[in-house]
Formats: sequence, C-alpha cells, structure tokens
Amino acid sequence: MTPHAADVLEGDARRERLRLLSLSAPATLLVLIILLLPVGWLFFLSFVDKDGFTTANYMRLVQNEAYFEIFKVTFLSSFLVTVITAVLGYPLAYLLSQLPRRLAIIGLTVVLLPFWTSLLVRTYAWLVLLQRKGLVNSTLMSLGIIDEPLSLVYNMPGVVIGMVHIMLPFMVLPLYATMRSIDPMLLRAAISLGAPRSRAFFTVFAPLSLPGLIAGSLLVFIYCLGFYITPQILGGGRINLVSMKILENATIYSDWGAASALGVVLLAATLLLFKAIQMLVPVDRLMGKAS
Amino acid sequence: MTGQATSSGASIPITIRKLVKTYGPYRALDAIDLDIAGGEFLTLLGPSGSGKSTLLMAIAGFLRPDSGLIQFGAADVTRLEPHRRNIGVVFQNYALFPHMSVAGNVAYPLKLRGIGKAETAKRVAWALALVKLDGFGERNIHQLSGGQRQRVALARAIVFEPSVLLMDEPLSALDKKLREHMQIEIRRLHETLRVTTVYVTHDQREALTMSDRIAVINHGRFAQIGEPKALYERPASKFVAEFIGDATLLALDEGAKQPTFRGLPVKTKDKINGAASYVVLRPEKLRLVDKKDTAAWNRFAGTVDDIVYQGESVLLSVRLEGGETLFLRQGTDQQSLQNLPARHAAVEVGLHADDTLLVPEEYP
Repeated sequence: MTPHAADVLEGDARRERLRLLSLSAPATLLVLIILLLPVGWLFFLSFVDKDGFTTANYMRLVQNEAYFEIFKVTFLSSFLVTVITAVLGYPLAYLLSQLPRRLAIIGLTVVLLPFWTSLLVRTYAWLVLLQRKGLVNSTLMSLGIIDEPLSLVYNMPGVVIGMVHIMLPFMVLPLYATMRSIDPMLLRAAISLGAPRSRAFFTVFAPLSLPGLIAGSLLVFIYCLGFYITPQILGGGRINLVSMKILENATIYSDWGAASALGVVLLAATLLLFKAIQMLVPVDRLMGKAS
Repeated sequence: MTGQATSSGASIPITIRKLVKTYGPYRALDAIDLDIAGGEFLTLLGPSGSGKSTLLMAIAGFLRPDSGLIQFGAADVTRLEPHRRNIGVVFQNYALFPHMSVAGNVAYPLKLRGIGKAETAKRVAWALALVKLDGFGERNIHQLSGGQRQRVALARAIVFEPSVLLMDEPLSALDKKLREHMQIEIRRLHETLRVTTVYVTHDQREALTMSDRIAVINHGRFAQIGEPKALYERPASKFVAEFIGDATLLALDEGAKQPTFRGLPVKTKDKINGAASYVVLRPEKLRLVDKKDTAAWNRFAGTVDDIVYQGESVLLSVRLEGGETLFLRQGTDQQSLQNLPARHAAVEVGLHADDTLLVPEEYP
C-alpha cells in the first residue's frame, strides 16, 4: 500500500468516528439543556440579589448554626441508609448471583416489585406499619418482646427504615451485576491453591465485588442526599433535611438565592465525596478484569 | 499446614479404583481404574463429553464421585476437600485473579500456607524464572498476552511444589504456533520438576507430543492406555485408530477364516485377532505401487479424486471401486512431485504387510 492510500484510509476512519460520535448529539444536547443549564443558573442565582453580586446566601449558611445541624442530619441519615442497604443488599445480591439464571431473574423481579407501586403509596404504607398502634408494634407486643410501643415514626429510625426500603434495589442491582460477572472458576482456582471456602470468598470474591458495592453505595448515598417525600412524611417535620429547607426557601419565602446556595453546597459536598472515594479505592485496578 | 493429603514431594503416584459418577441415567465415569506412576506425565485424551474433564475434576476434588477410590500415594483422598489436597490446577481460561499483580497471583498459595515474606519472594522469583517471566512480577494481569497469562497460571500452580499437577486443556485458547511452543515448554518444565502430572486435552497431536502415557477415554471408560507410539502404531480398536491420527478404516469381509477385503487376502504381520474386523490405512503409510511391487504389498485399486498441495506434503484422495475414499500423503521432493499421477487416473495404492494393522470394532 502506498503512503498516500494509507492517509486516505486514515482520513476515512477519522470521518467515520466523527459520524458515529454525532449520533450521540441529541443525548448530549438533552444533558446540556436539562442538566448543565439549570445547574449553571442555580449557581448564578446563589450569588446575586436585587443589588447585584452578593455572598450573603453563603454567609448565612456558615453563620446560622441551624444550617450546620441540617447538613449534619442529612449526611448522617444518608450514611446510615447507605450502610444498612449495603449490609442487607450484599448477602441478597450474593444469593441471587449464585442462583441459576432463571431463579435469579425471578428473585430480581421480586426485588424490583416495589418499583411498580408509587413511592407515595409505599411511604404511607410504612406510616401505617410503624405508627404507635401499627402492625409492627402490635406484633412485637403480642409476642411479648416489648412492653411499650416503640416510637418508629416521626424520628430518625422511621426515616431511615422508609428510605432503606426504597433504596434497596439501587444497591442490589449494581452489586448483582458485578457479582454475576465474577468468574466462578476464580474461586475454584483459589480453593485448588489451598484456600478454604471462606478464605477464597474474602480474598477473591469480596475484592472483586467491591466496584459493585461502591457503585451501589454512591447511587444510594447521592439519591438520599436529595430525598424529599419519604423523609418528609415519615419524619413528620421533626427531621429536617437539606431538601426540605430548599423547598421551604423556594416556595414559602420565595428566596431563590438561599435555595440555590443550599443546592450548590450540597452538590459540591457530593462531588468532593465522590472524588475522595475515587482516590481511596483503586477502582481502575479492580475494573482491570474487564479486558 | 496440617491435615494435608501429602507433604510436598514431587513423585506421588495416583491410584484410582472403580470410580463412578452418574448424572441421572448418564454414566460420566463408568468404573474407571487407573494407575499413574509418581512423576509421570499422563494425558487424558478424548472427544468432548467423553468424561476426561469429569475425571480430572474428581482428582482435583471439585466433584464428588458416587463410588470408588482415589489415592495419592497411600492416602485415600476420595472424600478430602479440594483445598487440602495440595494440588496445582491450571484451568482452561487461566483463572488468574484480576485484582492481584502477577507476583500477587503467584504468591497467593504461599500466603495461604503461612510462608514468610522473604521466602515467598524467593519462591515467586524462582517460579517466574522457571516459566521465563522474570521481571513481570509487578505487571497487571490485563497487561499480559494469552501466552503470558498461561505462564503465570503455570507458575502459580507449581510455586508451592504440589504433589500433583492437573491441567485442563490449558492451551486450547492459544493460537497454533504458540500452542506448539508451550507444549515443549510444559514438557521441559515437567522434566525439571518431575511432578506427577495429569493433562487433559482433546487434541491428539498435543497428547502425542507431550505425554509419557496417554489414556484414551470415551463414554466414561478407557478405550486404551499406553505410550504415544504404542497407541499410534498399535491401536486396540476402531475408535482409537480413528481418534489418534488420520486413518481410513476398511471393513474386512465377514465370516472369512483369514482376513480378506473383497475376496483378496490381507497380508499382515499383525497377530490375527479373531475379532479383527477393520484394516487401518494411515495416509503416511500408504504409497502408490506399480506392477513390479508385489509380494509384501496389499493393493487397493482406485482412481485419483483430488490432489491437494499442502506445502510439506501432498495429499491424494483415491476413490476405491467400492466407493470408499483413501488418503495418502506424499513428500514434496522434486522426484515425488514429478511422479504424481494425474487427476482421475487409475492407480493402485499399496500398504506394506509390516504396516498393516487390523483392529476390532470394540475393545473387549
């Protein structure tokens, strides 16, 4: 082949790549319009008031102790929900990943079943179950496990229970996908090399399932940070989260600047957290098996 | 480590008696008996579904046989858990741990055995040198080529000096050139270590190249066990003759006292077995004969169907009068090329009495 022909081919290849890339243009445009523009607008709003540029919205967050408390509760509840869904979801996903494919699909359908009903319905169902004379308390009392009804709603436990239920599929799905892709031969290899089953699990399976755990945890955690309906209903106004404060600022006080500042801080905190996890865990190395 | 089948030692014999494994009505292993000498390289050769991998997995301990006995040396390991058997296994798809470096993979069995850091580093370096991967310790698994991964798997399986080395079609994912190269490497490694090795393959040429002995397995039973040359030159049945090497088998006339093919006696130095019912014709043992060659040759008349030039040889297919097709291989030296018959020419194919093998349908 002459060098000239090679150049022509290379040009063709480049044009073809561009053409294929252009197929993603509608999606890129959509992301630009519905995500980047509003976030940019939010950012802008948080720095202006009727007199022009201001940092008052941010100063208020730093100076007012109540805001610190709200952020603390938001992160704490999100953290608790993430840990509990991980503890519940990991064994469940492991079980599903070890089942024959057909049974696993049935199991996954059951996990996803709650998605078929409205979030609101599920949340009110929890309210019914968890209240003072609800099913949970009356069952525990009739079994003689407790004498006094537990307070399970309008407090942190209630909010966490409801959110865990809603969030569990978001943990199970990425975990299941990762675990399914782990070659069972690797465990056999570990055993043949002298590892008892439990040791093979902790030295081979667990580290390889870590990317799924991280993905699931990030999904749950980030979703929880902005969760509104469930904590609002099950917290009964006694649990104040950032999302509620944003709504309050925007709808009651019509203070878009304050609401935007809260949103921006939440977003920044989330991104920082994301970066920290990326630096702590060698995700790239774990993903190396994909090749 | 306590409770292990054997201490590490290179030459442990394996004894297998009446091993049975069934899946429903299907007998994957049908009362298998096998003696593998200490330090021997034995290949299990068979078509897919023959039971060769089942037998290997039973030796490894990943599969519990219904009945029978497996011994490593004097120790009964039939019911011993796989992690206590002290076996090195090389799997078909390498099964390397993707979250560990090359050195991490090779060090894994040593870590499990509680071996110290300095000793581990020494043994890992030794094993990597043995498979010619010195200096690859810090690489990631996904940076390696197929052949290199195979070498890491091999190093990992031998680094703890296992009593038995098991290999399940380890070269099947490699291309032909690399495969042939690795065959020689594994052979050399075995000569260095002298560890009792059981190797599974469906590739008869690979089996012939590498093994001390080959056990041909079919339908969960051994069809024949022997040294490569014995298996090729003296197949015990139609199945073995066809499975190892290329061969056309012609059915002998039924009911005749002496072996005959379409009325003509078949001359052979083979001890005539009463049950013999086929004559084996291998391409490289056949040649074209003319009227002068007589006494010692069995002759088969036919016409040349096709002539295929393959580089190192020429393959002629000859259709006999009865419709059977024979293949014969000729060298590509100038003299042979000049004497090639034309297509559709009538020829006579000769098989020397010394090379004439008769085999029964089934091995008794």
